[in-house]
Amino acid sequence: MIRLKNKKADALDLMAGTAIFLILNLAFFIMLMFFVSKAGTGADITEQIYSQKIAVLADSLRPGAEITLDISELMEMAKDNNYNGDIISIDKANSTIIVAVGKTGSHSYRSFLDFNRVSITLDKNNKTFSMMEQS
Amino acid sequence: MIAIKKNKKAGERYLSIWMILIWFIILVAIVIGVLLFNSIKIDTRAIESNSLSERLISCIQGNFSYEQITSANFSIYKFCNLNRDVADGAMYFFNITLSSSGKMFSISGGNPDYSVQCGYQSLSGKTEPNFAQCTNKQIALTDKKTAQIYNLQIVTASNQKGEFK
Repeated sequence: MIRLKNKKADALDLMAGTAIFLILNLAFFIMLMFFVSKAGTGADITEQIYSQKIAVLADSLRPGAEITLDISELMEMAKDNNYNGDIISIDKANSTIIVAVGKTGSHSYRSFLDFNRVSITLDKNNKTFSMMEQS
Repeated sequence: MIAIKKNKKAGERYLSIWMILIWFIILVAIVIGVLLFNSIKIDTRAIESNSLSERLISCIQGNFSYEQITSANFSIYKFCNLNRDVADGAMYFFNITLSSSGKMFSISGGNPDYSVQCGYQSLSGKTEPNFAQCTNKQIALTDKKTAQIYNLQIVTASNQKGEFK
């Protein structure tokens, strides 16, 4: 009888152990997949690329010239992240271009150009961003 | 036969300290890999330095008058549409030198440390990745009023790195 009791207890222990093992395994891999999928969207890199791209384009502007940039990639990413805020914003006082495609963060880059004499247009229909320096 | 030797428990077998340690190592390796990948900076300092140089040259060259540039109320920032806080800040440097038969005039702004870094790179002929990236240009200009020819030398530098908030 004692042997039988021990066998039952061992079987229960084995089941509980396996269940805990499976739950922990599942939790670990879900966490891992969540982190990797979030990092894999490349939102961070894209924000960095676009903020620098816009700053470098602004640096090379000339009076009377207009530069238009296709930002469909940014708009798609913002849509995927359910982000409705400003994708591109410019802090005129510090000549800083801020790009964000999600609620978690943003990338910024500075231009030496004075944006008080630059007209900026964000066309959501054509998915373009334009800058024109007044002559 | 009451004393039966117990088998190792299933939980103990799988959830050993080694198993958790291996999971932790895998997690840390993946996190480090992703963070390293995301921390790679795109270096546009040389382009920025060149753009600043081109901008200064194009606005000075446009309607060049030595008298105007050397006047007391002349502002290179307004004249070339530069943001003073940025162009005269810690990330950039510029030095404009105008010279002609005994006359010499200089305007500079930004971080003066970069002047030394630009000088060193210019002398050694090597680009130092940890130094500011520099552009050195020299052109001849004709004064619109006096028709005198001036030598314009412009040294610019950028050491800007992006910010994440």
